[in-house]
Formats: sequence, C-alpha cells, structure tokens
Amino acid sequence: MKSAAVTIAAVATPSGKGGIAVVRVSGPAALAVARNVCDHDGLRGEVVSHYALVGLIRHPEGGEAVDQAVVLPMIAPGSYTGEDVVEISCHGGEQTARLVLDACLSAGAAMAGPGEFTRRAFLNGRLSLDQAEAVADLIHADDALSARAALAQLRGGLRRELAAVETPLLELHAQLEGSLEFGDEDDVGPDSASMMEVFASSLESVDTLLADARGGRLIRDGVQVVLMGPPNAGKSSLFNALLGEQRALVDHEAGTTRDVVSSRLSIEGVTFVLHDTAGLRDDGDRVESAGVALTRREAARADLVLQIQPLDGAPTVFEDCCAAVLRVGSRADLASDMTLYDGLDVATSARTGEGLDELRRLMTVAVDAGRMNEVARAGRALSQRHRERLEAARTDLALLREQAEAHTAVEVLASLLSGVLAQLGEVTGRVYSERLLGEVFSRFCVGK
Amino acid sequence: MIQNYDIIVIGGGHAGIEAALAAAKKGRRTALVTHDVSEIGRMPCNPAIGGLGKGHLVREIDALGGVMGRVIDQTGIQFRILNRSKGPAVQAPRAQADKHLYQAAMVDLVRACPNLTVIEGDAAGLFTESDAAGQRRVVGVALGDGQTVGSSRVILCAGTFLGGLMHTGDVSTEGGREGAASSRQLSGGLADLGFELVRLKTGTPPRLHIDSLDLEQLEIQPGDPDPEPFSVFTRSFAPRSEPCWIAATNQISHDLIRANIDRSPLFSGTIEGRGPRYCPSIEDKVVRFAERTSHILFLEPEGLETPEIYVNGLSTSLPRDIQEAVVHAIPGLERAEFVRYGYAVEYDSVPSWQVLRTLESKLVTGLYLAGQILGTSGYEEAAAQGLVAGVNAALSLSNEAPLVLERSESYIGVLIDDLVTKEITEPYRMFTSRAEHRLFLRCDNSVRRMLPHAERLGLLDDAEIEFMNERVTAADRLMKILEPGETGSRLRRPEESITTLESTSPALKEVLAQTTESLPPEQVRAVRLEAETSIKYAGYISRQRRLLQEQSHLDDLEIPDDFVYDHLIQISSEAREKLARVRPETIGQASRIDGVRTSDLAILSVLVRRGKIS
Repeated sequence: MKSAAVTIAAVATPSGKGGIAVVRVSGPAALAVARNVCDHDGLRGEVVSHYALVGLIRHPEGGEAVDQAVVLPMIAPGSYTGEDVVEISCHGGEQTARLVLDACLSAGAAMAGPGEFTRRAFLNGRLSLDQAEAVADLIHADDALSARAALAQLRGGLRRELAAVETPLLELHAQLEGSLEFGDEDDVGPDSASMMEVFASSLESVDTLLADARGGRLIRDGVQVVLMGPPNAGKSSLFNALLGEQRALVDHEAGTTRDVVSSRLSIEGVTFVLHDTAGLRDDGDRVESAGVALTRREAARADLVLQIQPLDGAPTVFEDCCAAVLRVGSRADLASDMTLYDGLDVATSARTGEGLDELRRLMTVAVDAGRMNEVARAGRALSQRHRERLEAARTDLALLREQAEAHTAVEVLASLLSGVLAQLGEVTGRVYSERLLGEVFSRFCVGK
Repeated sequence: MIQNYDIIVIGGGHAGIEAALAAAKKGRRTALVTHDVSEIGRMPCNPAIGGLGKGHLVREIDALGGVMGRVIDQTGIQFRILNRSKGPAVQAPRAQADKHLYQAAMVDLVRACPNLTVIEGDAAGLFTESDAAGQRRVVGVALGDGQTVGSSRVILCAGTFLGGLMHTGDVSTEGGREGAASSRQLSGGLADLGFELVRLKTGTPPRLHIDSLDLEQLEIQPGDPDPEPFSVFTRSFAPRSEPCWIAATNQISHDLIRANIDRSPLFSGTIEGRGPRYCPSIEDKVVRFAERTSHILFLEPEGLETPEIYVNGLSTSLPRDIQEAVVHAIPGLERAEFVRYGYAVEYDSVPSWQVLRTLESKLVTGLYLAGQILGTSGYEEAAAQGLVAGVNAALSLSNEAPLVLERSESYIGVLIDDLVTKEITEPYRMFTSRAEHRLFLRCDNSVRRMLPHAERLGLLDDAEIEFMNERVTAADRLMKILEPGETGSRLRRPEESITTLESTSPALKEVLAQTTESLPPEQVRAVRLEAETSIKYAGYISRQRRLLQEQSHLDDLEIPDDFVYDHLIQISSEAREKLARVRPETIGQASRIDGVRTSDLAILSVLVRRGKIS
C-alpha cells in the first residue's frame, strides 16, 4: 500500500484484444504526469475537469510517439478516487496500453497495486465499504445476473432491506434497556406480546433474506451441477452436447489431487458450472457397483444433480442425495422399452439433439431462475460474508425468541439482542469490524 | 510558610475522602484541604447511597479497599435491593442514610487516619513549573490565606465548587452549595493553565418538615425485611429500617409549574449549564413528558434525629412561592412546611477528555482530577474516581504500575473509559446499560472480580484479603456441587433457583448449608446468588464474550502516540476534532468516541496499518 502522496497508474481495462484500452492515473501529480506525456494546451493552466482532449502521447524520455489518445482529466474530489485522475483512452491492444503506461511511469507515476484505485476511492469517502465490495463483484460478474445484483448493491439495495429488519430491533433494544434502568416502580418497557411480534417478524425477514442468500451464492458462483450415473451412461457425450458452442469457456481447477474439469454453461443469463464426476472419466481402478452414489466431495458441490439413466440398458438404482435432482435419460435414440424406466424428467440423445432444449429449460426451472433474477435486481444477493453474519444473527434471534418465551430475565434478553444487532450491524456497516476490510480488498486485481 | 506533603487532596467530598484515605493508607504523607472539616462527607442532595448502577460501583469500591460501603452500612437507616424482580445483573443495593451520622463517621475516619492531615482552608490556586521540554508539572497549592502547601501530586476534587453559582427563582447567590462559598479563583487558575472548562448544572429538591406532612394519605415504602450490607466486611448487620413514603404530583401542580416556567432559571436562560437528563428537574419533566399527568415522588428521611424529609423527584429552581404552591397541591403535603427550598447550582467542570486513564491530567503532570469536577453526577461515581486517583497518585510516586481497570471487569472501568473517551455533555451517571459486559459485572461477584487488584493495592489488611479469598472459594465450592449433571440442567432453567432445588432435595440443602456454614450470615445469600447466577449465565456470558472478543481485537490495534489527525481530510471534521482531543490509544477506544463513524474507523484502521508498514 503506498501513501496517498504517491501518484499511481495502471491499465484499467482487461488485457486481450479490444477497441480501446484505458490507462488510469490517480494522485496529486496526475495532471503533471499527463502534461509530461501529452503536450496539449488543455492540460496547462486552468484545466477544465471532465473535458476530454485529443492528443498525442509521447514517451517523456526521447519523445517517441506512442498513440493518439483521448485524455480525460478529472479534478479532485469529483473523480473515482477522490484525487486528481487522468484517464487516457488509447487504441486497444496490449502493446499500446503497455506503452502508454510505461510513458506514465517514466513521467513520475508508480505502478498501482491490486485494488488500489478502489481502496483510495474508499479512503477518500467516495465509496462506502458495501459499494467497494459491489465494485469488486461487478468486475468479477461474468453473467447478466451477477452484474445486476452487483449493480443493485452498488445502489444501496441491501442496506434498505436490512434497515427494515434492524429498526424495530433497535427500538426494542432501547425499550428493554430503558426498562432495566428505571427500576421496579415505573412500569416502562415493552410488553411481552409486542416483543414476541418483533422477534417473529424479524425472523421471517431474515429467513427471507437468507433464502435469497442461497440465490446470492448461486448468482455469484454459478449453479453447481454434478452429473452422476453408471460408467458408459453417456455422461461425457451429454456433457459436451449441453455445452454445444459454449465449449469455449473451460476452466481447470488446479490444486486438487487430480485435475477436475468443470465447464461453464450459460442458460437464460444464469451460469451453470458442470462438474466432472467419477463416472465421467474412465477411471480404470474404480470398483463397479450396481448403485451409484456421489462422493462426499461431489455432493458438497452440488446444487443440482443430473442422474443419468442410459435408456439402452437395465434401470439403475440411484442413491438419494440432498440437492435438487433431475432424472435424465440418455441415448434416447437407442431406447427400446421406455416403460422400464419410471420417474424420468426428460429423455435425451446427445447424437440427435433430442431433449436437450427441454433439459436446459428444466435446469433453469430447477433452480428457480425467475426468482434468482428478482433477487439480483433487489440487491438482495448476499456475499459469503453477509450470509455468515446473517446466519449468525438468525441463530441468535431464534435463541432470543425461545428465551423470551421461557421468561428468561430481561437483562439476558437485552444481552442477546445486543448480539443480534452487532451481527446485523456488521453487514450494514453500522458496526465496525476489521474483517470487512480484509475481505473486501483482497478480491481486487490490478488497475481497479 | 511552605509545608510539604507527598500528596495533596483538594476537597472533602466523596471523591476527596476516598482519595485522601487511599493515599494515606499507602503510606504517603497526605494533606486534605477543605473549607470546613465538619462538612467532610456531606450529602448535598439525595440522602442515599447506591441504586441501579451506583450500587455496583459501591461494591467494587468496597472490594478494592474504599470506605463508602462500610460507612453506609454503619449509618444507613433503610436498606433495599432494587430490581429484585428483574435479574441478578441489574439488581443493586440502595440505602437511605442518616446524613449526619454518615458525615460524622467520615470525619472520624479522616481524623483517625495515620499519615493524613486536614488543612482547613480554601484552595485558591495551583503552583506549577515547566521543565526543559515545556511539560508542566504541579509543585504546590496556594491557600486563600496566603499560605503555600508544596507537593508534586495534587488531586483536585472540588465538586460543584468551581465558580459555583446557586439559583432559586430569580435569586442567585455565589456558592458551591447551600451555605458554602464557591471557589472562583481556582477556576481562573485552571483556565490559565490551558484547561477547557464547561459549565454544568445540577439541582436539588426542597426539604420538608416531617411533622407537617399528612403521612396517613401516603403509601409507605418499607425497607427490605432481610437487608443486605454493602460492604463484604460488615458483620453483625442489624440496621434500622425506617420507612419512606410515596407521593405523586398531579395536574394542578403541573399546571402551576407550566404557568410559571419563565421564572425558572433553567428555562429563562439564566443558567447556561447543561443539566442531567436522567435526574431532571421537575420543570424539565413536566415540559418534556407533557402527556404524563403525574410524576412519582419519594419522601425520604434525612436522618434519625432530624425532621427533614427529602423530596426525591422534585429537583427544582423555581421561586420559593411557586415551590410552595406546587407542593401544597399534592395530596398529603397540603400543609407542608419548607425547611429548605430547592435550588439549582451551576458550576465549572473540566471536560474529562483532559485526563488520562489514571485520572492524571494531560496538561499538568502530577495533577489529578476526580469526581463531579470531571462532569459526573453522584456520590458513588465521585468516590470511585477518588479511589482511583488517590491510589494512582501514590503508585506513581514509587514508580509502580497504575491501577487501570478494564470495561470487561468492572463498572469503575466502564466509568473511567467512558470519561476519557466519550464527550460528556451532561452530568454523567452510571447505568447498567453502559456496560456491555453487564451479565458478568454483577454485585454478587464484585469480590471475585476485584480480588486480584485488591491484593496488589494494599489498602486492605491481611485478614480482609483472606476473607475475600474465602468468599470466592465458598462460591467455587457451591458451583462445583450445583453445576454438573441433572442439578445443573435444572438450575439453568429460568424458573428454577437454588431455593427451588433445595425444596425438592433436603440432601442438597444440607450439603449447601455445610459449604457456607463458616461464612458470616450476611454473606451467605450473596455467595449463593453468585453461584446460582454464574451457572445460569455461563452460557450467555461466554456467548457475549465471544462476540465482544471480535470487537476487542480493535483494542489490540494501537494508534501511535504521535499520530496526526489534523490532515485527515477523509474523516469527517467532527470525528477529526474528537480524535485529536481524546487521542485514543487504540482503534477500539476510537470506536467508542461519539461522532466517529464506522467509515471513519475503517479509514483510520487502514491508515494506522499503513503507517506500520511504511
């Protein structure tokens, strides 16, 4: 982390081929750096903020021309970081962007660290912590749904939802404390019935938020889909057929005992992540068994399990699993007697394409895609941090209700309620905890 | 003529007494400067000690070796445990005192204390000098008669006397309280030294003659049939139990007050000072709680030999004729005679952010402040500070580590942390809600909590320390019997108690009785309560601790002494100002300052860390 006296620069746009690349410079010397790389009248004397200039970027040492670019000065505090910022939009291509950046570095800027621009934006009060988090999400959002969720959070949707839960609890807390301070004489304090009502409705609200939290994780991380079935059930063919032209997006998950291939698939704006399982790769030393069960690891991953029943063989017994399940028949083109298999949701053929559209539709229904979209828009999609705090608050809230019903002393109730409020407060930012900072800024990469 | 002492205490009120006695007990040659020796320990307001929050303070003062608890046990005329119906953490002892006996007992204690000399006089100023680095330190006190008393440690416990001005209606008199001169010069001296002063006010109700009251019409409030002493060292406790009476204002009295509100100095603007919100004058109450048609009043005897009855709840500075009319409108008080009229007093106080946790002032080395002068309200709050200041002044003379109590272990800790951290804009009174560790900071376990400190401080003799240990052991033994298995699970149910368990198991009753049989009878109930509550609350306490621990990491993040706040444009100017004044030692303390928001804390945290890296 550099001191705010240092002017930083970095390429703000992702690498790769693109029409425009942006190099961002922020700090007290941003304008000076700009002047050093671009000889333009508009950068001398009274610089007009947010007024774009077109100029030639030259390397300050040697004067070698780099690119014709748009130079946009933004004077503090009205910039992203709250400091003086100059954004140089140059012609795309990694090479050009790098040359422009080099020029800036030679002109006096220092290379920015990951997330440094956003960190400065936060330190200068331009972004709240929640909003900084949302920026990270927005950057990482690789589908429409997450983007929408991140945007809604950026606009304060989450805070509003939680304030609705917090406010009556804060009021109740004040009343409880008041009743403890005024002794036996004055009958001040909330009556039992209204107190229980507040607990009940708070629990309901938190439960709703948490239900949507599951939606939140699905939005952020993608729906984890696991294919399960006997060897040679045609899982790999189905896997490939589902991906279709989207095969281009393939991640390799390193760091495990064997490389697992997962592929991402986008259906109706929702990201599904299909996972390789034991049966998919022909693993020679696997013991064959009539029934097929998920390994614990696979089960832990799964939001949705596709139980693949080959339609050209004997019916398979699948073990129960806890996630949502779709029973999918494969090799429908080779099927003879469909009456053998009951409870099938859809019959598919990787070869002919039969049933694939229907399968995709069923997958979105299975995770209630419609609801996921609504959640995203309302900004109720929750990060892991939010979810953990809310879950802790929920547990305490349930305990609180239980204790109130058992007529536990008011001082204990007040103490438990403080705990609930502390948990909630951490999510809304009312209560400060060091956890927040670390989590938020670790997710950034350079240039943001 | 210059006399020299190790420690000088200015003021013979509740803070001054504890400070002087503690200092003297630690072997320091101590002088107590006071206007009038016979006024030492005077209770200018409520003739009572203890109550919610305050009772907790007294128990802790007692366990550390202070005297307030013992003296009220000797001179109290009614004892009650408040909030019995609520919970063990908010229960607190309270006692009505015979004011004259209390005062006399304090005077005796002070006179009999070795190492302690009383100097009757007026402290007019402080002598200080600067060292090479420009740091000021105190070297002595100037008395009104021209004499000088030298010392490197001065504890200022001037209460409401600094620039004291009393008001009754439109009549204003200079004075720290009725019948006592104010200390004008000392205020000026403090201001000259660079201390910021703030004017506060507090009020007191009228006193009525008991014979003129129609007590038949009033509800009696008796003392507890089985009273409990404050002090853990009190034996053969068999106090008097004088009743109090309950009355109430009514619409007529309220109308009278409202009609004459402009004659009240509080409202006419004659008094500039800020008053206490929770001990408001009757004018305040009537205006602020306009919808209430009646406010409760407690008529409390001021002593066994005096006919004066203190009207608790009727604090006022209205003119005499209005006070009379208001009182006479109350059933039972139609013919009441006034022995004293109510009045308000405004005084200079030294906002407490100007002292360190040891209660030594930041500006002048060796100068300590304690009590109402720092903006607190209440005898108990004053006594707690006096004890801390006295002990710390003595410890500093021998270069020993000072007494610093944590919020997590005592109400005194909460009090001092609040004083040095928060902005006190009105007189500060202790409430249990100020303590986030309330479930743990109870009256029943104050001995256990204070024991390690008591052992180090040396204010108690060996036999007393031994007894404290005995009491803790007894509670431990009870817990060992009650905690495990079926008994423990039963006890943890809200509706169960040791008593209910005993009623179904004579064997248990026998065992428990045996465990406590060597304890003095006064302590048995408290020890049983401690054991019972510790078991019932263990789960909640550890849960609370866990939660607070996450917050307490903030107390580990230290802010460097030389951290500069002025340039931090990222933080709101209000926060910046407060941070620069308080100069918190940790992020945790910063989080407790009013006006510092979580976003400010986040920024501060990052900056402090960044400073550590670079």
